[in-house]
Amino acid sequence: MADRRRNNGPPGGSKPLLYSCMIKSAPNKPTRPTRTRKPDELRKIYLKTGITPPASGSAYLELESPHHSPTFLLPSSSALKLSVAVHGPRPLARSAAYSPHLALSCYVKFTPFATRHRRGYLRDPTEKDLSTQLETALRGVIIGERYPKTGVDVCVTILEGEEDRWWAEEPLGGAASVGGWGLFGVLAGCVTAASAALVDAGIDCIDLVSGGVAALVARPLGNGDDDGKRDDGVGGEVVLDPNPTEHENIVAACVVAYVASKDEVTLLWLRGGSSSETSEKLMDGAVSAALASRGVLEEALKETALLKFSEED
Amino acid sequence: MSNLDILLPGALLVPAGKATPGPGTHIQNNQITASVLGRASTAKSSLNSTTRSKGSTSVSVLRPASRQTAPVLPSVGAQVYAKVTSLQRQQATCSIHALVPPSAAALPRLDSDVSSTPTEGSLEPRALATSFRGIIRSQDVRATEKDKVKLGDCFRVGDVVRAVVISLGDQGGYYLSTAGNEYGVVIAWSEAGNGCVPVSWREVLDEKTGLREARKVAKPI
Repeated sequence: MADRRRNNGPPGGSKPLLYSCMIKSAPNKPTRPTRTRKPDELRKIYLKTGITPPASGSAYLELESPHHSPTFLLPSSSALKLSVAVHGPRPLARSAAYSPHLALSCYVKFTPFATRHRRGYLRDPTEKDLSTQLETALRGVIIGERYPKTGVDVCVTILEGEEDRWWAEEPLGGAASVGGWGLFGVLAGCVTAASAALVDAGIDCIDLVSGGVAALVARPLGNGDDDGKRDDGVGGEVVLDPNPTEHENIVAACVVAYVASKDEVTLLWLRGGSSSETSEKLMDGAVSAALASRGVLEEALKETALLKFSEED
Repeated sequence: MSNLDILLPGALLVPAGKATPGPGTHIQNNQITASVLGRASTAKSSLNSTTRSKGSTSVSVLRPASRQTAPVLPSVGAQVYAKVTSLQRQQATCSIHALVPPSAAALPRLDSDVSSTPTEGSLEPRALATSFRGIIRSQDVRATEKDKVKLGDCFRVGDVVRAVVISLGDQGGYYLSTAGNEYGVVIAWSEAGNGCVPVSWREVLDEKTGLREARKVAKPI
């Protein structure tokens, strides 16, 4: 009879797990992906509308995927793939009170396989927080007075989310364990794609809104001063559209949703950045990143319109 | 057509004084600005007492018409086609399935920047992507003898009614009215389940059984 009072080990005995990244002189030690873009250069964006036919409006956004190293099964850095569907305007629920404006509700959901850490099927607090932020960003551009007593649902499904850090660092912890940097890029992508989907649905907006991210990257820990990295005078280098797997030491990041024609920011999320000088630099960087992604947004929507009008003629 | 004809939301059209904003536009920094994706169109606005004295052209942005999902919503003055879903003593509940937006000329255009209804002016009924709830109160069924209306003698569950939206209503549904010759039942089914033809403004005839039933009949167009 087995001993059920004590928590005994397995009968066969086992070896502790040993990851190759823990061995200092492993033969094929993984190397951190490096940023090959210029600091002010964004990853290539693929944006297309009208990919979910039952929805009133939809969009799909994908960021350029990194090169895959043949040595390891795991992709060395992460990418972003997300799809947005806009449903409505449709009547409010029977129990909802009269509303003279459009009732906007956003649902951001990671698929269970979106990140290295498996996500649940229910919405977790992170996803709820992203939903609220996206709602704030979009509320600023929709002309809600034109749609009384109706609601619009914006559903974002993230098929692949950005990681918070490089996978080989995960067992190590340490300074790199400050998490959440991946959410910035995800939120910016959500804003840009949701704006495209809203316009595709034909909902009145004052302007397009696009998202942009900038991050402050400090020198890697333990490195000397002279490693060829630029210093922007705020304790590090400001990079646009950072891929968190490529940087060891992100100290601050900022995401904005920017409305270009009014020069307005409908959403600002800043983390880290102790001085006002840092924050200002980051915000300026994020706005210029948003302006750059707006260019892609405009081109994608013009394509949509050409397609729709050519069907009509 | 070229790329240049297409306007994105936020594209500037003309200064606000030069024209009146039509559907698909709004005013921003004293400039008429596009608010939907589409093509610009200008039309001579018909003069009525409430439009600006200049009576200049009205500028609007037309969405591509090929998509059935361009948002159409019931608004006051819109003609709707609705199916009666339940009858009570005081009111009939129905679900609105199609509507003809109020034409731009028939409604006084307000000067406020966001008050114009987001509809394009065509007289064809447009199917709605989702049905909306409508309510016909007994006092809105006909214009005369309002207090003698018995809803059971005016509608039957399943009938298709042509009506006009008189109010956005409360949380329950849009208030509809069938007062007027052109409003009322357009498709009726008898108690036996057969289709009916109108014989007078208040009666329909089941051609199979020869029985007459009471309805508030719309004048055939």
